[in-house]
Amino acid sequence: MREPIVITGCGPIAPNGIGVDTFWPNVVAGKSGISRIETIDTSGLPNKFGGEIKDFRIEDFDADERARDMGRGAQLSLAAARLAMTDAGLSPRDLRDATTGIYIGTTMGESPIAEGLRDHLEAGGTVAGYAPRMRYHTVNMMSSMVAVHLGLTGPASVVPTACAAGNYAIGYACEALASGQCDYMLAGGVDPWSRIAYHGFNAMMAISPDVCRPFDRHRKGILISEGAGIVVLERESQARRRGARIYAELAGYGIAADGYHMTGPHPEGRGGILAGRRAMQRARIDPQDVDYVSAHGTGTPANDRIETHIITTLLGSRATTVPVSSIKSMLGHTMGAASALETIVCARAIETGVVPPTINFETPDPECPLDVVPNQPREVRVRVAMNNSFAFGGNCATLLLRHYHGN
Amino acid sequence: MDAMTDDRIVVTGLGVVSPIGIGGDEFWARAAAGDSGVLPATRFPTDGLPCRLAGEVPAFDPTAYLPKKGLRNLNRAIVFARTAARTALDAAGFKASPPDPASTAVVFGTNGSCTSQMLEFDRDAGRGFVDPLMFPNTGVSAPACQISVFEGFHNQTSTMSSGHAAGLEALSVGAHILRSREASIVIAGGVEELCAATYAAAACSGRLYRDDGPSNGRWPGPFAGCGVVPGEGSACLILEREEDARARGARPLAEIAGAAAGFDPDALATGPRVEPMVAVIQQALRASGLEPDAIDGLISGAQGDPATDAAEAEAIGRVFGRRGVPVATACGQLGDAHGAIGAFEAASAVLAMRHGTLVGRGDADHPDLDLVNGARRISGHAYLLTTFGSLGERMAMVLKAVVAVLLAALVSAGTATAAPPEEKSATDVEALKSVMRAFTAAYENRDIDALMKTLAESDDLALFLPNPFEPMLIQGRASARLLINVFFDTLPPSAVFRMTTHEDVYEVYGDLAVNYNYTNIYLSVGGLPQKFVARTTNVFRRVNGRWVIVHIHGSPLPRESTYLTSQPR
Repeated sequence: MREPIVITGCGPIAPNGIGVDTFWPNVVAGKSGISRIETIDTSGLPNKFGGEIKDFRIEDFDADERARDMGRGAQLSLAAARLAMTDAGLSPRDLRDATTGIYIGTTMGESPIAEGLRDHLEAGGTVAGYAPRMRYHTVNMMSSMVAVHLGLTGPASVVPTACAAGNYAIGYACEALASGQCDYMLAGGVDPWSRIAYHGFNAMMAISPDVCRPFDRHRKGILISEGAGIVVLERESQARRRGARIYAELAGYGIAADGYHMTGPHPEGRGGILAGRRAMQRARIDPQDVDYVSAHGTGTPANDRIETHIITTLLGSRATTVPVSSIKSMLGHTMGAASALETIVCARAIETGVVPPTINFETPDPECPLDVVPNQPREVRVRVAMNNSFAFGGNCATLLLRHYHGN
Repeated sequence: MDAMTDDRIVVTGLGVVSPIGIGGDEFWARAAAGDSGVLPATRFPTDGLPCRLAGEVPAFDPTAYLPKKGLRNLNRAIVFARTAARTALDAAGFKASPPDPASTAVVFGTNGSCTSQMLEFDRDAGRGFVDPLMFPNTGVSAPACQISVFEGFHNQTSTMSSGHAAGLEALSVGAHILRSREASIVIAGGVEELCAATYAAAACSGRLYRDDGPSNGRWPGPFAGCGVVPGEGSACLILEREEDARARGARPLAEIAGAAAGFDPDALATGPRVEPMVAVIQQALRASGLEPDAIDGLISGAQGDPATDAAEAEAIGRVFGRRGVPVATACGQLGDAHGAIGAFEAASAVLAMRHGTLVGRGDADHPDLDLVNGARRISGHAYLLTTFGSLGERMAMVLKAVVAVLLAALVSAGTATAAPPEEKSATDVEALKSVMRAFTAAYENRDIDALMKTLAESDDLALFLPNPFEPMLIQGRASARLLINVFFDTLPPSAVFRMTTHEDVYEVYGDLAVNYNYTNIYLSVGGLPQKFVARTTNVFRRVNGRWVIVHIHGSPLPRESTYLTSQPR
């Protein structure tokens, strides 16, 4: 019998709220974080809306001067890590005195730094002139800089497995704790606002012209967003010893691949189903135990149809009655951060007995016969929550969170 | 989280795309010949920069390795990774019978393989047109995913970006996936790609080799205290559980014995510290169950950064003593291939074991390190790999030989009769099997005279027998006769003793041969049956045309191990 791994701190930075005490009430209330895009010239393109976080400043997070030069990805990582650490009742000293590691998932990494090169060249600059900024582009800066700032001595890695990356990072963090290698793990996902992602998804005609409406019959696509979600994970015995607030148990993770297409899902949801089964096997959880599903729910026609098939395959006859919601309806797609923010949602849903709604839901889709908790939150006793994530390249990762028996 | 098995994870093939060759054979030949891929950069201008050298992969025709279909819409990094993976699969014996796609996972380490693609994509977006097919390639996980998608491998894919440590971390994640038994084959490696912008960024760090001294274009290499040369490429290993590899008739080339990772948060601000490096090396040794004495060589990821290299040299000295272990550097011939360098180190270690030769290149004569410059004969069976990066990332791993590799190295070093193992004849294998049958029958019948006929006459006879009561360590014929007889005498006449072997593998190396198997040992004394499983290695020598046993090593598996009842798969 392995010792349970528990979540003791949450650090969300989302378009609709920074910090768990703002983010969670807003998610429950169905508050959208979507606004008109300000930092990209959207003229000539049909999509003008996204999830920029307009009130994020690294100076608000007790960061020293060095943090001002870092990329926005590293800044969001550091800020979310500090929020999670504080929420867990830990000081930087606590983390330094123990062995603490950090795994951060991402899709686009420090994309804004790459984008800065074009702007620099258009303004008459040279590649060599931009080099000092370019040094911050390498994706591993996002974990390394947090380790440098917080003085962490455990492994520091970025897991860039795209829009499933937050779940990957949290799954791998559980292994680092279970093996005894680390005492605390900071784990989650981060993606700064990305012009490349905006143009890329636009070119693929995957962006909705107005709002994101997952599982709705008239869904038209995703909205590009930015965000960060980091949680503190530790072994149960340590959390109890230090009297920590335990949100939930991280009961298991499952990772699998579609091995089918770089952008489209496997038509039978091969990777997603296997990821879910592996998570259930690791967590020793049966399909009938799952009380809530935090869907990947991007709002594209293909994802939501295939995800419905995956949930139906995994949960069987209960698939139509278990509440399934997608907070991407409010946040848009925060990419690497998405599944990490959704992990925080699952943890709070288990703790509070409330599940957030899927907003913008108007017309049910016969191809998605799920209870998507339309537009209003609901009180549900959640013992086990399932958190799906499926990414480009066929990367799939599912987490299972369980009510902590000591609560 | 995973209930980890004690499966041994072995390397069964390797492939590379490097500045000095593609595929393991070409890479080895040119590395051993002392070639260096560190040359003036040609793919982008270096005017106005304080440095001009790079470890570039020369242009090559990927259709020589990959099917033409599916090569469009790939960037260089993806072509590197796919070619390395394909050459590794071929080397591991998957050319004729491809691996089961449902059981095959792909894990890569990389940090900057998407950068040039991102820059290109954003530039096109600024001009008002982008190619949607290139968008997924802007992601750092694209190399691993493209391998998975193209080959149809759908077990799992992953990508790790931990700076300099990424290559070793990918191997470590791959080994974990195998121990969790979710996959049977893991394609694990690293990949990086250079471009003008990343080269300029490295140049402005002040860490690069300035190439303005008397050496005139020749980089003195790591540990010379004179700077880094950026590199690129991909190295890839095929990992499997040992039993699976043997079951499909593949030759395990080396075992991933253990690894450890950490971070030094002071490295950037106040300079790299020695202690965290020492700690990671010691943890990796502990994880492998090896003492420093057991390490025959060290392949370092040192890049040429004066402060980091100096700390690493001191750390190596603290663990192994001054000039206590031969040290080769991977970057010396390749340049700093960053997230790929750990995978290159692992590939070099496997090749070093196979050829009984450690290869390195560096002009530095280091006062405290035994630096390998050239090809040095070492019948090494355990190599330590390090990747200590300038941001503070720290990782070490131990690769060790499986017995067959050790024998191959002995043959190659001239201490045994040379003969390629491929030439083993059915006659030899039959003769060896008959020796083992005679040994087993003699043991079961408690016939000491018959038993002694199967054993070598020479004094180097050494037997480590998994006796159910107490393991017996026996040296020499006289002790063998005495001690085995004592064991026979402790058994009452009514006792039943049976041995059966499973998953037998025979390898012949000239006048040396080896057999591995799992041995079921069944012993019933006074009606109380006991069952054990031992993992056994038997070594034979041919004397005057007759095969005899010269060495037996039987390791009892834990009591709860499954008693094998089925025939080999």
